[in-house]
Amino acid sequence: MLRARSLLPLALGLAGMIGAAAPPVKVGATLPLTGSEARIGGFFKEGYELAFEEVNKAGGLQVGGQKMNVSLTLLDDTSTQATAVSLADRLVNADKVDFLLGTYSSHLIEAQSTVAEQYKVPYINGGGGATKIFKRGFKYIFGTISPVELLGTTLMTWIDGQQKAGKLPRPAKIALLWENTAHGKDFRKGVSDHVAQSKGAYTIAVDESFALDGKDFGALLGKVKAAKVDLFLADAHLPDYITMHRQYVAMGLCHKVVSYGARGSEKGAIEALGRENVNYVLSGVWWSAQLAAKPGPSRDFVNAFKARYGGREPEWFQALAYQSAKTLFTAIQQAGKVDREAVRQKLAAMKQGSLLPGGTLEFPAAFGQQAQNPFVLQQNLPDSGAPIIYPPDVATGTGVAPNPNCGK
Amino acid sequence: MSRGFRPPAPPRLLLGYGIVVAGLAALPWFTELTVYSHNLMTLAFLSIAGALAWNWMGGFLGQVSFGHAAMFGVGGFVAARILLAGPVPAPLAWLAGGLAAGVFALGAHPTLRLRGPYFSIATIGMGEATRLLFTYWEDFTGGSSGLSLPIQTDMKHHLYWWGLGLVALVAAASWLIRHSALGLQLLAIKADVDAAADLGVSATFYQDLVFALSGAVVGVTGGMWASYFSFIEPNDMFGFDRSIAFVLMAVIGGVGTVLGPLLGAVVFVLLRQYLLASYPQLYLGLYGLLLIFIILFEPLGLTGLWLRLWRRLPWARAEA
Repeated sequence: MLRARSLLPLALGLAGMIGAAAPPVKVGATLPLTGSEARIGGFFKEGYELAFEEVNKAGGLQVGGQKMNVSLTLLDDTSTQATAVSLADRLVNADKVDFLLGTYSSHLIEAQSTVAEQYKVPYINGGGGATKIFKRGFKYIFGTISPVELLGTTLMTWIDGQQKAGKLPRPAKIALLWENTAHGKDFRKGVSDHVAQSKGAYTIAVDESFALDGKDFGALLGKVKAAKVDLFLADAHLPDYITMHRQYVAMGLCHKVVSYGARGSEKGAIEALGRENVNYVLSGVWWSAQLAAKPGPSRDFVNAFKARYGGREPEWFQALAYQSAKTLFTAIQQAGKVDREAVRQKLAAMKQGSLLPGGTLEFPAAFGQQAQNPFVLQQNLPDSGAPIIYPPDVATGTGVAPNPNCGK
Repeated sequence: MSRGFRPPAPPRLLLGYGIVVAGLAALPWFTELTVYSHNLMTLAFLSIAGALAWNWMGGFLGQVSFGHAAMFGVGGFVAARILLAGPVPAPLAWLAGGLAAGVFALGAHPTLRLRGPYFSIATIGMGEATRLLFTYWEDFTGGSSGLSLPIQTDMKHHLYWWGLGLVALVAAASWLIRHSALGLQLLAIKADVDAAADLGVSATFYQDLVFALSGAVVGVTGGMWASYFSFIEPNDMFGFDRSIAFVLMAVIGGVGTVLGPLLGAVVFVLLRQYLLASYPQLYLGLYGLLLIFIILFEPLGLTGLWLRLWRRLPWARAEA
C-alpha cells in the first residue's frame, strides 16, 4: 500500500509530462487511390509517407523551441472532383488539419484548391502542372511542379541543338498532338511559341487535340501519316501514351524525333509496349532518379526510398510528393509556430535547396506561386535505359537524332 | 355554390412535411452543426433534388434515362456563364440554367418513341454526345480546362437553405404528380403505351413534358452545384458517372416511389462519404455489398425495406 502511494506522485508526474507533450502538426491530403488515376495516386502516397516517416523518426519538427511530430490524414478522393473537394472540406472543418498537401492531376487540384483558398489553408501540391491553376490569383496554393509549357520549351531547345548540328532538317515539319486539357494546352503553347520565334526553322503541319482517356487514335495518326512530318510531338497522360503509341507502331509510323511530353520512360509503358517499340522516344520529366548520380538531396531521397520500398527506384511522382511535404515542413519550422498565415508567408518568401532539377525551390509571385525549375530530358536508348540527355550539366548520356529506327 | 378549399394533401401529411422542412431549415441555428456537416448536407440536398426529378422520368414514366448528366451540365454551365458575365443574383442564374436544361431536354424528343432498354441506350448516346460537344465548345465551357467562378464563402453557406428549398419544392411536386390525374396518366404510359393512347393519353406530349420538367430541375441543381464548387469542367459535369449516380440513388431508395430517391440520395452521399473517410480500405467493398443486397433482396429499395418493417409493427398489423 505504502509502495503504491509512493509511486503515485511519480505516475502523476509522468502523466503530466505525457499530457504536456506537444500535439502533432496535423496535415491532411487526399489522393486518387482508386479510379482512373489510382496508379499515380499510389506513387504520391509513397512519397508523402516517406517524408512523414523520416521527420518523425528524426524526432519531429523543431517548431518554436519544441519538437513536434507530424501526422498525415490521407483519404481516397476516388479520382473525382466532387469527392476531392468534399473530403478536403472534411479535412479542414471536421478533422481540423493545420495544412493541406495536394492530390494528383491538374483537374482535381484546380477543383480542390478552392477549398484551401476559401478557408485560408496553405496547400502545397506537386501533381498539378497546368498554369491555369496558378493564374487565378489564389494566395494559399503553392506548386512544386513546373509548368508544362516549360516542358514544351525545353524539348524544342534540345531539338534546336540537333537542328543546328545538321542532324535534323531545316525547316522541320512538326505534328503537334495535345490532350484537350489545361495540361495539353500548356504543352502546345510551349512548342508553338518556340516555333513562332524560330524564324522559319519549323512549321507545324498538324495541330490537333484529342480527348483524355481515348480509345482510338487511328484517325488522328492517319492525319499525321498523310502530312509526312519530321517531328512527332504529343502530350499525353500515361494510359493515352500507351494506347496511342501502340497504334502508332501498328500503323508503321516513324519520325526523326518522337515524344509524348512527360511520358516515355515509365516502366509500365515499356512493359506494355515492348522495349524495341519505345526506343528513342524522348520525354521531359520534372525529376529523374539519375539525378542521384551526384551527392545531394536526390541521392539522399533515392537511398531512403529504396531502403523503405524494397530497393525499388522512385519516379518523379514520388519525388515531387516527397519534396512537397518536405517544403511544408521547412516552412512550418521557419514560421516557428503552427499558424496558417505565418506558414503561408514563409512559403511565399521561400528559397530553399531541393531535389528538383536546378537544386533550389521557390514560388515566384509572378507565376502565381508555381515553381519554375527546369525539366530534364530523357531518351529511351537500346542498351542504356533512359539516360538524361539534357541539360548538359546533369546529362548521363548522349541523345540520338534522327531516330535510327526510321532507316530500317 | 362553393365547394370550399380542398388541401392538396391530407392535413396531417402537410403538417408533418412542414415540420420536417422547418426543422431542417432551423437545424444550423439550433445545433452545433460543423461547417463540414453543413456543407455535406447541402450536397445531399442537391443530390436529393436531382434524384427526385430523375424519378419523374425513370420511376413514374418507366423511361430509365442514363443521360441526365447532359441536363445537369447544361444547367451548370449556363448558370456559370451568366454569373461570370456580370452581377446577376445567383438564383436567377440557376433558374436560367434550369430553363436552358429544360429546353435542351426537349431535344431528346425523337428518343421518346423508344421504350425500355432501347430508350436507355439512346440516352447513353445522347449524354456522351453532349459531353463531347461541350468539351470541344471551348468558348463556352473552357473545354477540358473548365470554368472557375469567384469563391464566395457566404454563397456556400447559404446554399444549404437554397438546396433545402429546392428539395422541398421538388418533393412536394413529386407527391402532387403521383397523386394527380397527371400521375395516373404517367402510370398508364408506363404500364402500356399503346393502351394509354387508346384511352386518349398522349404519350408523346406527357413524355416531352416530364422530360423537360425533370431536365429543368436537374439543370437548376447543376447551377447550384457550380456555385457550390466554384469550378466546373465538362468531363465531370457531363460525365457518365453522374448519370449513373442519379439512377443509383433512385434504385437504392426505391424507383417509382415518392420519397425513395430521397432516401437513396441520403445513403449515396452521406454513407458513401462516411465510409470513404472512416474506412478508406473497406468502403468499396462495404458500399458494393449494400448495393448488391438492395438490388437482390429488395427491388423497391430502402422504401420497400421500410414498408416491410412497418407492416411487422404491432399497431400497423392492428390497422390492417
